[in-house]
Amino acid sequence: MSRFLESIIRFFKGNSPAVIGATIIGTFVLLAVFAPLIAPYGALERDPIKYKITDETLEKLAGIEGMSAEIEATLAALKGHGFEDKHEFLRTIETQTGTEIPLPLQKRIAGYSRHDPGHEPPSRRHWLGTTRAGQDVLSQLIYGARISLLVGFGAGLIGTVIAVLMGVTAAYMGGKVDELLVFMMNVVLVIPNLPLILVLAAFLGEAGPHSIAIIIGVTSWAWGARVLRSQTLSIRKREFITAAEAIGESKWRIIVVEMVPNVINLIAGQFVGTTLYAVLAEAGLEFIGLGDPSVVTWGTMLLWAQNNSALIVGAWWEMLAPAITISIFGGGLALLNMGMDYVSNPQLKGGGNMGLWKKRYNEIQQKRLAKARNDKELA
Amino acid sequence: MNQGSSTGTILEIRNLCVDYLTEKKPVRAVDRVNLTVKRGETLGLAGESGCGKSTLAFSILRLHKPPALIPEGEVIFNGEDILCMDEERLRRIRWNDISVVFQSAMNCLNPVVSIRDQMCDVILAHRNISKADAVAQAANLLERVGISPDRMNDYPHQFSGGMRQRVVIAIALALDPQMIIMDEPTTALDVVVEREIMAKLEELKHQFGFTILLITHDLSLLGEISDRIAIMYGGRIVELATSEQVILDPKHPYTNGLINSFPLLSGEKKVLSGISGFPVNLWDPPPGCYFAPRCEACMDICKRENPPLIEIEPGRQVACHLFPTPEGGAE
Amino acid sequence: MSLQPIMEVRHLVKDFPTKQGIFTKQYMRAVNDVSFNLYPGRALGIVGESGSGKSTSARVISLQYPRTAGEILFQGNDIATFTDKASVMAYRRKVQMIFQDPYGALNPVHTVFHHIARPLQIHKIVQNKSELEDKVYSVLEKVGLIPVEQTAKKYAYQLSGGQRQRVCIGKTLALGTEVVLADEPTSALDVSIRLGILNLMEAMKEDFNTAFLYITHDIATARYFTEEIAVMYVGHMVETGDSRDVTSNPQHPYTQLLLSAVPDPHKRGSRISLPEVEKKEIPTWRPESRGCPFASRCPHTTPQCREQMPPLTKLADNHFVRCFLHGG
Repeated sequence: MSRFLESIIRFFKGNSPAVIGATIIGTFVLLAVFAPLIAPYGALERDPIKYKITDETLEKLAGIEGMSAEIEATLAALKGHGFEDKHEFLRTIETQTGTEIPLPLQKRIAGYSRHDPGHEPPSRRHWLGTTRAGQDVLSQLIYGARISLLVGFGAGLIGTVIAVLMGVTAAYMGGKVDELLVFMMNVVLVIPNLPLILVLAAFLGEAGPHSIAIIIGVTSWAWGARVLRSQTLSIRKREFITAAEAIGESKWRIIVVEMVPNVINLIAGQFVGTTLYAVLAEAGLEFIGLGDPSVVTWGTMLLWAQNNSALIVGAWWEMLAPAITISIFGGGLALLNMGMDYVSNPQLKGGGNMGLWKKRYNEIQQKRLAKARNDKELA
Repeated sequence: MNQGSSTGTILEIRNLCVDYLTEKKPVRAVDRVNLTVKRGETLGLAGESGCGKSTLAFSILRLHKPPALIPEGEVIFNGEDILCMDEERLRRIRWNDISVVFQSAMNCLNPVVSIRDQMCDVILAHRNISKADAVAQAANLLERVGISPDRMNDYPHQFSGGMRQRVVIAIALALDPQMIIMDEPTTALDVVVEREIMAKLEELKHQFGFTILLITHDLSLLGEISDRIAIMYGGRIVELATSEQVILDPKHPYTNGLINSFPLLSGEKKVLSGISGFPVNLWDPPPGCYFAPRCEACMDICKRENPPLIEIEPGRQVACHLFPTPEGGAE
Repeated sequence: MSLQPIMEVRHLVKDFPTKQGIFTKQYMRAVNDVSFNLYPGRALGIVGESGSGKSTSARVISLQYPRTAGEILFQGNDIATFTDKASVMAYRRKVQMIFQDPYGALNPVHTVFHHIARPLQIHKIVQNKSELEDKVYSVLEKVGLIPVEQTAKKYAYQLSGGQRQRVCIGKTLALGTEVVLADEPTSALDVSIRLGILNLMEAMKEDFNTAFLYITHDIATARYFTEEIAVMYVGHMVETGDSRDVTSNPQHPYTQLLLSAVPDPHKRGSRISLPEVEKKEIPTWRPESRGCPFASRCPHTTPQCREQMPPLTKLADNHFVRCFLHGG
């Protein structure tokens, strides 16, 4: 166990992309897991505020029949406060003013104070504003993370498992089995992925997250399978495989114990890459309406934002929040993948050492040339 | 102006050090090497893996890439220090005056380019002549190394390993260099092919008079074809003498051990034991002589002090405390 | 010495398919009519250049390739009869191969312990965990990898080439292998390390009566380690005999060529140049090929050499040559 921890530490040491990527993903995972504790509101919870006094309200009410200075003062003092119930709202005004307010004025006040909780810009109560339906965008993001991450990792897992099975088996078995599996890989590769996903999703109607995860998983494994197959083929030729066969290891053990551990870094990279693809594909599917719109995910958030013409109306937060979140999460996955590349190919790390080397090299050359000039002069 | 270019010396390496920068402290792959190559000779550089012989060869033409550095030393070629040269001068020296045949060079030929084109590329990069002239020169070179010019349009995979090595040697000779550095040129080849190539090389050397620096671990080969042999261990030269002296009367214990690692084809069968222990770990080298942990003649001083390379007879150098500095200072 | 041979190879032939047309299939013959015996406690050296078929022969014996024709008898039984899993496993235990590249022969993700323990576990040589540990450590000690506990925990990349090769040899000891097929076991190692490995194998000959098939291109080490040498050329055995005899008194023109090509510092300056021959390329042998394989490079070729395959002629008690110069 301690060896495992050691190798994890070694992986992250000096590997900034990996560290950043892992932090981002870790944060999202925590958000998703502890959503009910972290999200300020429910995902579908509508802001119940119906009445709020704004500057516009005061403007419109100024000089209306029945308006008095005291009432105006109260209204001004109550500006910005939200009230859920009409009667409570009016009673508060009456209590604070100290006088009764005539019914027609009441009606007017209530009328001009009507508050639509939808498309509220980011404020202290709603850090990322609200959707058209008055739902807290931040809470939706946090709850949506649960589904999006589930679909992403789920599809990633399915795709990777299939890729490993197909690729490694094809490479080890060789012959007819290899030919058959490669043929299957090629077929899946050649079929355009996106239209295939669309057809499958459309076929299932409003596909829920589970269906989407499966659909993406079973259509995205082919490239990884090819890569794994070629890497396994090169390992198969290595003599330790022949040696394992020679001492009598069973085929199954050779695949699982001798070969797979040698490509584990590739498999991990596959998993991260497929997850990235899955998250984006899922968002895409839901955005065009093929997902289940009643489930809150980052993709459906985009869908609703689009349907509500958020950008056109000026409620940029409803569209941008899920878009940027997807980008950040995807970026985190990509960075993690980059970090894995660094481990497989330490030369890519270059970075720090190069700077030091350049410095030393220039120092040395300067000294050398100076000495040569000196010698020339002396001679 | 004494630049060490006495008639007879083509290359003089003075106090050369090569370091590799690592995350911890730098690893010294070549340590204060002093070596003189005489014009027209075949100098053998022998040692096992990790002794620094290839690193040394690379630094002559400044072929190193980061993280290798040359913090000290001079490489004087025909009076000029190669390490001080600017890019343009260096480029002109490379291949024109000194060429290199790398290890497994036969595998370094571009598989998708014909031999004719590869040779012409090299020629045209350095000479301002027409393509037709370059092709004619290439044909000439191939003939020199024993390959029929009709095969010029073939691709590398159509040649056997031995023939590819001849092509590589032909390319090395393309610009009539004064010196050729060969790094394990025949290690990957069968012994009969090796013999043919070495014979051809001798012939060409007599014809054109170039100098050869031959790097290999095969001491028997060096014993046969080189004039002098330098033995390297842990980045240092431990012995330098004529081939005869090295083979028949080795002074340094490492050289002795190395000679005794080659079973003979004739004579009484005796039990040989090679050299015990493991090669020196350059990340954590011992103080004193690098060979001390494996040396049967190891003394106290060997563990503390590194023996300097001194001349014990004219033309013979050893770095070993068994041959202490004579009174009055050493070379 | 009238020992019983532990392995007998008789008239072994191995073909590989080259081009495959729709109706035609071409083959190249890597091994043609090769016969030899292996005796317990003795080593047979097979010397030849690349393409001589020496490695292929070993791989056929170790069941890596199926043979095309001929017989391989192990302890008197034809291995073609080993069809069930149990007898194949038993054969695998007794006949093992060690390879040229010590870097490739060990799985980089497993420890030294794993490499020695697996054979013991597969063949159920030990009963429980503590027995396993004891046996692994004792094997490591026998091959000189001390301190054993420290070494057992190491991974392949932490060992030197010589140490890795010792681990591979250790595997054969763990299994109780009786015939070791060593395919260029020291070619990839540093010169000063080679003798250590050869001496270890020599000790195995004496202590465990192991039989060795030592494949190499370096005839000098073959002379050092083996009692008998067989010289192979393009899949054919051209000369066999006592190592001393073959190396000091070679009779086949190819053996003579080989010996004259080996670098020898004592022959400096007095080297006879190699004979000029029309074709220097090594031919590819096919099942249909005729004549002596060395005919294109031999300075003594006659028309008969190009037409017929010379038979193996006995020159002395233990010295055979395949050449028309010596009758046939």
